[in-house]
Amino acid sequence: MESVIALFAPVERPEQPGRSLVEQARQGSRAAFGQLYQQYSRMVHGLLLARVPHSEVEDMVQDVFLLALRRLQSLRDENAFGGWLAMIARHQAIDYHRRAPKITELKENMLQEKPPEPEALEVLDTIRSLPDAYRETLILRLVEGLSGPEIAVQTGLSPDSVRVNLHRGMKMLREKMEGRAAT
Amino acid sequence: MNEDYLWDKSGEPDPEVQRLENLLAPLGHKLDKTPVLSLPKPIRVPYLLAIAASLLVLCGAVWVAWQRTRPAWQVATVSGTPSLKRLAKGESISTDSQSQARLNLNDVGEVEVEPNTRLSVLAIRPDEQRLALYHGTIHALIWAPPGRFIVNTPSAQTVDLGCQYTLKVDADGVGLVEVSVGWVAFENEGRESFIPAGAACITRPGKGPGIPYYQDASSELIDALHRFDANADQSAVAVILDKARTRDAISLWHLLRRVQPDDRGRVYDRLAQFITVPASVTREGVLAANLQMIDSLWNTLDLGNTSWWRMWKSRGPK
Repeated sequence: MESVIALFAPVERPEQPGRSLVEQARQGSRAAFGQLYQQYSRMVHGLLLARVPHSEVEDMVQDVFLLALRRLQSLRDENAFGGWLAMIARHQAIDYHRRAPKITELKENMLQEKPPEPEALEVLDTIRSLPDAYRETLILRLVEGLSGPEIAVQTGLSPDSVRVNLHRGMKMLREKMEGRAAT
Repeated sequence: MNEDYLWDKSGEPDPEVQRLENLLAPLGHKLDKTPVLSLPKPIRVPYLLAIAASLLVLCGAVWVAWQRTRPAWQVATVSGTPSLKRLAKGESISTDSQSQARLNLNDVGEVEVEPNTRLSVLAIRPDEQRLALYHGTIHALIWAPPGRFIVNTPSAQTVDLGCQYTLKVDADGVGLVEVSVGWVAFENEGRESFIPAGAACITRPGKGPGIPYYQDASSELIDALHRFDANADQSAVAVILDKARTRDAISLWHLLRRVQPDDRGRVYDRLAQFITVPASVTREGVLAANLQMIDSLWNTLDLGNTSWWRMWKSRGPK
C-alpha cells in the first residue's frame, strides 16, 4: 500500500504555474479564479468521479470551487493550491456520502445529452473498485485526459508516485477486465 | 504496454489505453459547458426540499397565527362529535344525526346548531355577520344591533331585527322561521315579510318569503296561507279573510300587497274591520298600491313604526 501513502504525501515544489493566479484570486480577482478553474476543474472532476455518481459530479465541481473561493484566504502556501484543492474535493465527496441523498436531481442536460455508453460506465465501475491511489490517477489519466506530469502538478503528488500509481493501476485494471470478460 | 504513452502520452499509443481513453472521455469534465461562477449555483434537491420544508413551516405558522387572530365564531360541542373549535369566514360546520353545536360570537349572539345541519360563515364584519344555512335547524339568540345578523337560505335571507328565533331549512330548500322574541325579516329580491314574536313564516325556492302568521292562528287559516303562498291559489283568499282574527291583521297586511288587484279591495275591507284606518289613507289609494298609505296601515297594527323598518333597511344589511 505504499502507493496510498504516496497519494497523501505532497512534495515540495519551487513554483507552480498557478502561483500568480492564486495570489490574484486571494486579492479578490474573479478572473484569476476563473483561470484557476479552467486549469484545475478536470482534476477536481476526476477526484470526485472516483467517489460519487457521475450524475452528481458536475454540480459538485462547482461546489468545490465555490468552497475554495470562500476559504482561499486560509491557504498559507499558494504553491500548494493544487493539493489543497484536491483535499477539498475529497472532503466534499466524503460529505456527499454522509448526506447520502436519496433523491437524484433530474437536470436539464440529462435530457439533452447522449447518455454514457454502458461499457464506459462498466469500466468506470471497475476503476472505482481499485484502491484509492490507483482509481484517482487512472480516472485523471483515462477519463479527464490529463498526462502523468499534469496529474502530479495538479494534485501535488510526486511524479514518481503518479507514475507508479498509473502503472500498477493499469495492470490491475487489465486483470479485472480480463477476469470479467472470462466470466 | 507502452509505459511512456500511459505516462505522458508520448511514443507509440498503447491500443488498449487509447481505446479506454476514447471510451471514457465522454464521462470527463465538460469544461466548455460549466464556466465557473458564470452561472448561479444550482440548488440541489436536498437544499430545495429544506427550503420548501422551511417555507411550509413558515406558512403554517403564519396561517395558524392568522387563523387565531381573524374573527371567528367560537364553537362549543353540545353533543356528538363536531371537532371544530372556531368557525371563520368561508368555513362550514356539519352535524350528523347525533351531534349538536353551539356557536358564539362576541357582540353578536349565539347560534345553536341542531343535528343534521350544514352551516357556513359567509361574512364576519363589524357591520355584518352573515351565515348560510343549507339544510337543518338553527336557534339564534342575537344581541347585535338590528339588521347586522343575517342568515342566507336557499330562498331568502333572514335578517335579524333584535330577537330570538328558530330557522329550519328542509331538503327541498324550503325555509321556516319561528320567532320567539323580537322580530325577523325575510327578504328576497324586493319581496319582504316581517315576522314578530309568536309568528312564523315560510320561504320557498323560486317564490321567496310567504305571508307570516301567528302560530296560534287557526289551522284553516295557516293552511290557506300556505296554499296561497305555494300555488298562488286565489280560492284560498276567501278562507283567509273568513278565518282571520284581529291579531291576524298582520297576515292581511302582507296579503294586501300580494293579491291580484281585483282581490285587493276585499282584503282591505277585511283589514279595515280590525284596525283604525288613518285619515291619510283612502281605499282608492290602497287599491292603487300606494306604498305610503300601506305603510300607514302598518303603523296601526301596534307592531312598531314603519319608519323604524325603513331605518334598518336604509342602513343597509348587505
